[in-house]
Amino acid sequence: MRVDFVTLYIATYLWFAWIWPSHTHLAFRPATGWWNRTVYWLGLSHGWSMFANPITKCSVAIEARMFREDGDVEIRHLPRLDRLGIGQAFLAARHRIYQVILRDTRGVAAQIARPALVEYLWREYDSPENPLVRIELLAESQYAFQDHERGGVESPKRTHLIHVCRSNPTLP
Amino acid sequence: MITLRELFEAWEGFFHTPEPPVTVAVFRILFGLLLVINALLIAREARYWLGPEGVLSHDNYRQEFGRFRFSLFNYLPARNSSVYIVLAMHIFAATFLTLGLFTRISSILAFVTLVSIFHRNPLIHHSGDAVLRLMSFLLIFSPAGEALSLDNLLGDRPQLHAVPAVSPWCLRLMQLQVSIVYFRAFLCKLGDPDWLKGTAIYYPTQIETFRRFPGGSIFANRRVQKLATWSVLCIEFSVGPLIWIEEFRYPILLCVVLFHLSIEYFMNIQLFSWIMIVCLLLFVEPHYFEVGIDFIRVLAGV
Repeated sequence: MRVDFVTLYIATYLWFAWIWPSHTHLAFRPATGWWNRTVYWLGLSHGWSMFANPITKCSVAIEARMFREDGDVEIRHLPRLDRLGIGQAFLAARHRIYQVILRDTRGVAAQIARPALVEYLWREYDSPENPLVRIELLAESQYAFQDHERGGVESPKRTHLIHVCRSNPTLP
Repeated sequence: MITLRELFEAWEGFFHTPEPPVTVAVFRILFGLLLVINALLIAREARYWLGPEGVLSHDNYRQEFGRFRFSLFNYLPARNSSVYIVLAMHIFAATFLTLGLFTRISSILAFVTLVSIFHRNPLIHHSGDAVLRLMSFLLIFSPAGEALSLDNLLGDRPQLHAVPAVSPWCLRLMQLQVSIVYFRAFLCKLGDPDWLKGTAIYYPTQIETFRRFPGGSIFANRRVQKLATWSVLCIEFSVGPLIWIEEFRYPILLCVVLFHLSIEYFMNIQLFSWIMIVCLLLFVEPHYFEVGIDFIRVLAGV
């Protein structure tokens, strides 16, 4: 057997491809160790828990409520794939991934994504005449109940507040 | 018992017995097309996802991700024009990759720009994107430009696909990577009670934001649910070890392709199924592609 660059590369890559998926819980954390840092830096981080641990069981839709100084409230929905046609929903599929991340209560990514989204909304919709004073992000979830879980009722839509940002943090 | 020498010889035979580079060339063409389509889909909302004033502003990106990850955006001014420059570079590189023009440089540039786009906003990516990144990385080291390429036509021996055999070590590595993707997915599912109970397939096919064409209600039937859920486990396991057994290869490939086409029908997960189907082509022996290409040439009268 030739022990050359190619052999070393093959062996290292195979080891990496097999071992790395166990590290997916680190996906959004600063990497530690030179090996982890290199993999993240190169964009080769990966995980294959597709539709498992846990499997997605609910539709998610995020809406933003924007409160203005004069008391007006504007509601903006992030694109809802269930309300789009097949073609449009295909084009907008990344919005679903984004909204699932925003809703995720355990994810580190949500802690980055929510304030960043509010900042974006503030930039887009604030006006000097009637400034924004508060933005709330709400997540609407609807579980896909199985028949035996349903108990004769339609699965309810639940809405909960996931993030609040105020222009003046001392205001209620 | 197997001796160390026999083990080394097996390794040598598996990774280095020369074969025509047609399989990896066909993969390069289709993979390049997928990269172009993927980039065009992102480009529709480039300012929203990647722009300096988008949902992950340049400042947020620098603070949360920029320090730990390579991206061309780290070195470009925080302007919308930078986003379009990187996307345009990516589309050009992927197009050149498809055509097989300056293949090695194109594959490097396609990987660098793909990673830059991914790192600029890691909040919108799925497993298919990870497959794109890994395969474009491996493609850099492959002889993908040595057949069915403009490089080949413009070179010393202008032949489209009747080219000398080469060591297929990179093709084998790509095949192993695909095999690991499925086998790892299978192992993850073994740890999930919904997959073991046989109910898992119900959920993604019923969730409104995933739903695509009609017919998903068949998965409300418990027997269909169990059959479909456990079939997925069998298929993912098969692409792990069993696809390497010659007699099983093509029946397994057929099953996996049908599995992905059914996902494509029932669920809206953008390019994921097509990415995986193109990756599965890596397991097709070059002989079959050569026959197909000859057939097309006869039909075209070339």
